[in-house]
Amino acid sequence: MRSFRLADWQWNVLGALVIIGAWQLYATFANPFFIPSFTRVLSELWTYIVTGAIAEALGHTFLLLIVGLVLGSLVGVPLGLFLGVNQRLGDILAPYIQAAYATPRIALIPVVIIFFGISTPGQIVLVFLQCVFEILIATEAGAREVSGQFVEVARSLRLSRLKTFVDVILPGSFPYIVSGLRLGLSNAFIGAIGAELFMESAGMGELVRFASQSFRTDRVIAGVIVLSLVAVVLITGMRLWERRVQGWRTETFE
Amino acid sequence: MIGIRKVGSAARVVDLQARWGDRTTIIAGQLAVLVIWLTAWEAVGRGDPLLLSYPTQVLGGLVTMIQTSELQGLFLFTARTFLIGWAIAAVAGLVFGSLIGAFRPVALMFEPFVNALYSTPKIVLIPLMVLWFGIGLNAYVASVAIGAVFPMMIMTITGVRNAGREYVDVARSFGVKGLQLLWKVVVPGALPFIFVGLRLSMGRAIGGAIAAEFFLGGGGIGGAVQAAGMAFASAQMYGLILIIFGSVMAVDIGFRRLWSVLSPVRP
Amino acid sequence: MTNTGHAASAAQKVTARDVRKVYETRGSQGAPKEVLALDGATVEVRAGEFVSLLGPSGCGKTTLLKIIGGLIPSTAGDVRVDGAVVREPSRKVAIVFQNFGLFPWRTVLGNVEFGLEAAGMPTKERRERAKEYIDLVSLTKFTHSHPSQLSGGMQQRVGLARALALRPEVLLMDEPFGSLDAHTRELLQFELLGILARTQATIVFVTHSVDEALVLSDRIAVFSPSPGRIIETLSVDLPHPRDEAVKSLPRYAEMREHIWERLRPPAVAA
Repeated sequence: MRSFRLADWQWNVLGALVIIGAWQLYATFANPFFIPSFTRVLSELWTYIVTGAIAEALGHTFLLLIVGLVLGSLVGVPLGLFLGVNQRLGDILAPYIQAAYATPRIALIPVVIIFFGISTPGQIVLVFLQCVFEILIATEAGAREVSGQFVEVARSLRLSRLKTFVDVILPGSFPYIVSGLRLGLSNAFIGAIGAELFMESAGMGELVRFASQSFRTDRVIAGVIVLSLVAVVLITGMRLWERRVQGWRTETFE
Repeated sequence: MIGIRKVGSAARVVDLQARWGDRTTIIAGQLAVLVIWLTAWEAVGRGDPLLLSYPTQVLGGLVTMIQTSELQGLFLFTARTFLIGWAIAAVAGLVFGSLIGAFRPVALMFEPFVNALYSTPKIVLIPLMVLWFGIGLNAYVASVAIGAVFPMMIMTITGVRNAGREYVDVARSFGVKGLQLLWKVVVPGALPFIFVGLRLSMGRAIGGAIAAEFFLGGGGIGGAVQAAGMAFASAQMYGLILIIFGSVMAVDIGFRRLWSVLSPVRP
Repeated sequence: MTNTGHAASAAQKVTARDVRKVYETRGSQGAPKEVLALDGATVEVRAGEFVSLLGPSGCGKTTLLKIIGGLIPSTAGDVRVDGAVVREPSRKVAIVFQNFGLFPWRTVLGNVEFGLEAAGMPTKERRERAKEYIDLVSLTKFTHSHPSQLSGGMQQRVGLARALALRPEVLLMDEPFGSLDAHTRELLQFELLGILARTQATIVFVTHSVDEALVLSDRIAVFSPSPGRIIETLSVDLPHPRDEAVKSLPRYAEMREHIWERLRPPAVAA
């Protein structure tokens, strides 16, 4: 494809300019109530940052995110390893896990509220549910693959089951686990915001919800921008870690 | 039988394999899990019906809802917004995804935004949907589409790029170009990825539909689940959730079936 | 060494003179960078000849082939097929690719008739022609199979059938046996000779294997390592038809030695 002599990053910038330009143009002619101008959004964003509202809200959201993710890993990783090694059991449970994975866990919010209440514990459970299956499935796939690849090597070396597990399966599954964590993180973030939206909270979800309730579209979009940036930072960070961990593998999971 | 104690040793699992035949044992196991779960639920649930409900009660509730046509109404409402929104997302995803996948400058300009927005929780925009689209079908449809369009776009991008890499030069060497190239080479080459995109976007579409109903109310299954939850009508709540589960599973399986039938090549 | 004057140009099927190719790629940070892939390569192929472009990886031989095939433009230089300047893929030229390039969604028949379809041949005629060439490569039993059901060697035979079905005047082959195991490779080399004996195509064949070039070609154009330049063109005066026995001829070993010498990096020559 012939492109005029622009460097990659210059195209990136051009794209950003096109989007912002189009936005600003549209906003000038539209009702500012519906579509706030880009400059307005920026100013609200600035206010948010300067008053520390963002920092505080993000703090709450991150708390949810991290606790939920940790719980998801504590359950998902061991279970995934177990099912990956004991493949018969893994095959049996597969459709149920797939079912749980495919369904929108958002539908479970009313159930979670009934069992765990509307504040932080309930929100943590929701985040947990959003990420545990991703982590489980990825870990299981990894353990399965590694078991398959190395089971003969391990047996020919007459390694004990424990040693096989610790020295072969665990390190071998690690890249897959990290991939699962990346997917889980992505989902957990969405889950955390969703939880904060629907339940009582002090995080970013609540911040944006409050803004939308007051019909402050400018603040809502400012909040979305923050969320986007956070998402990008988190995911990019995870991907970098994933790439470093993947050294010996030829393809990435997903 | 397949008991937990058997699973402990690989050698013994292999043994069972030899004796019973793979598929039968697995299916038997799956049925066993189902039966165990239902029995346990029934037993424990009767002790705390308000919170847990139990299978027979849930089933009874569902049957009643079917008889009064209430379930059908709920289902149709949600299905309608889901299908319209999903279709819009699919088309938009295909169009924009193809443009980005095919032309490098376009990709450089817009792909970072697509990727960023993909990971952003768009659910926070749902309350604004009413503001932007008015009260009515459109707000729901928009909520569905906004979540579903991104996986579709991203998979289309991957597919078009893949087709470009693998097949376009070959086709060009035979003098194929333009529309013929698109139709005979790029589309079939990207199809496996587009199919995956449809499956992935379906999940997000349903999520969007239900989230919209949670916020905006309305006569769909999501709204009914929320209402049942608030009224502690647990049998109804679980029943509706199971319907959601079941429908999503059915569509997902349907998709996989469709794909394995349509194509001799698995992605 | 070939040394043709302009008068003999009419007999040249494919000519490439002083071909330069500069690639614009991205360096680090995505700033545009220039890479010189071909630096004044010149080669001429007579009608009916089998010429190999031989050289190490990255020497530009595939680039030159693609330029001749009209898939990429040259930065400078004169490339002609039958006297006509090459601007885009020509109907007279067919290409066989290293990675086969078969369409997984089409059957063997569908793949072989692809080029004919693109050329607008009516269905009945192109079916017949396609089947003819599927027979030629001994894959009749697999006419309705899909590429994923075939081994690598079989897939490449489909690729060959697809190219030959066009009855091209020029056949370009880009390391066609590179993805195959040694045994299949050898089998297909001899099979190729047999098949080509029955056509009158002009062949330009890219390879990095000296043995392959010696077994198959009438002439070999030896490339220097990057940037691409043709440092020598030699005639392979081994007897036809070529078979296993040809490898034991002293002349074979002589030529082989000579070529290896030419391919050796300059520093080591001392």
